Amino acid sequence: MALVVEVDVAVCNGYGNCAVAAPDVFDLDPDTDIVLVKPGRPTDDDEDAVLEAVADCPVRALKAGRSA
Amino acid sequence: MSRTVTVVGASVAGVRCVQALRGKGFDGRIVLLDGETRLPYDKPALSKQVLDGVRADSAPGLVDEAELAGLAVDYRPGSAAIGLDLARRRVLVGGAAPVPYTDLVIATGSAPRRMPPLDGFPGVHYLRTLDDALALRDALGGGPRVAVVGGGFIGAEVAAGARARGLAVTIIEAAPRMASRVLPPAAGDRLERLHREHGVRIRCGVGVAGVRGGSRIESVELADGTAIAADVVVVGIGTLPATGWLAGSGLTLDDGVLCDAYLRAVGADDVRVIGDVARWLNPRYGHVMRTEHWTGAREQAALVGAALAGGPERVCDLVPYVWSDQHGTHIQHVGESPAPGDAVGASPQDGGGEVFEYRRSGRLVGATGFDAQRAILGLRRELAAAPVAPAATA
Repeated sequence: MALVVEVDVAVCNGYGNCAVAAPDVFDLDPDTDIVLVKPGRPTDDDEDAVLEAVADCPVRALKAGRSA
Repeated sequence: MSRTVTVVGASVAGVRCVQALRGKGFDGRIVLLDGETRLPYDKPALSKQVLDGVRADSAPGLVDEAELAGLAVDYRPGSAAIGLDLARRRVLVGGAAPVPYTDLVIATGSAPRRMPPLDGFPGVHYLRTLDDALALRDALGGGPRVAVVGGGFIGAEVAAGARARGLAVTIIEAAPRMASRVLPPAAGDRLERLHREHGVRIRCGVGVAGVRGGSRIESVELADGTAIAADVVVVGIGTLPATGWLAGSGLTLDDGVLCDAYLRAVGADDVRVIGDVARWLNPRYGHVMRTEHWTGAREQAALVGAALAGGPERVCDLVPYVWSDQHGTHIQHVGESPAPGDAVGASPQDGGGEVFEYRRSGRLVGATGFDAQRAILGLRRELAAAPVAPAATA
């Protein structure tokens, strides 16, 4: 069961709190200013930071869970 | 004996603190006192999504019944604190027994600054709670002419929401420019341009003398003798920290509860203060400050929750960060506002955005972005990475 993140790009406003809470996992797209997940992320080591990032999103654009 | 952490206030700071306490393994008792009667909800939407009549009928919840149960928190809605007995370590609550604590967390937030000449008139609105927002939303549904008193971010968001409904809107600001407490003239000009382009009328540099009307408002009377015809008036002229219940408690009140760098109330190590109500020594800046921002409230709450759960004590050296959505433009402000003598640089961004950077002796101290989220993220990281002088934490 790998850690997975789900991003709702329609809701994201690019506030960047996720990229501050979990800088290894999230960034903002240079073209759209909307959240992107970095290649190969998240890893299981990112779990704490990802959960912080999910909770820190003002518009609840992020979800984290475990793949089946 | 088991410890009790009592948290006063159940907005974003109070709820986040409870979550952090449990998340960091605190296994004592937690009491969460909420002056409101509905489940804790998130406030940024009140001046944004709730008002424009399109995006939301309510505010998103901060926590639901199931999570409250999972947190094993003694949640008490409708329990406004009315006093604090520091010596006996208990919070006085209206109509109920005093609530004891071993550690107290004050998170009572702030309330809108009132404008006495307007008080008591039907049609005059302030915005703080969900009930306030729903009342204003209903009033806007009647198609009124709207006067917004105060050209700060809250007033500007309300104006944008009313314009999204097609209403006639005028912003009245006593200072020479909108948001002049936060923004330098160049950025304030950009903000005004944004509103004018979307049909908002703006009157800056003139104060409010009163309102004309009887059972309903007819106009807002200005100090220069002119008047703005209006059916609904929204007052957004800043907030005051909610410390009335602490008068005479022995805590030092000075536009908030005065705290050290660890968010401990001065003279009361068993009292922590978070969110809008905290005036704390931020070692990053070497002076006391008070912020009214969602992100900062969460950072403070997490820090205090972790400390009270037995984790290491950390100083609160946060970089202030706030966002505002107006007419579809994303405005962000990070760090300090420019002081006299600071250099203000403006850089246009691809796609029509713009960043204003503030530098003091060449060093970045703050920035404001208009539709420039990625650039602001970079500047926010740069500000957060700047070392904090160790001497300032002493």
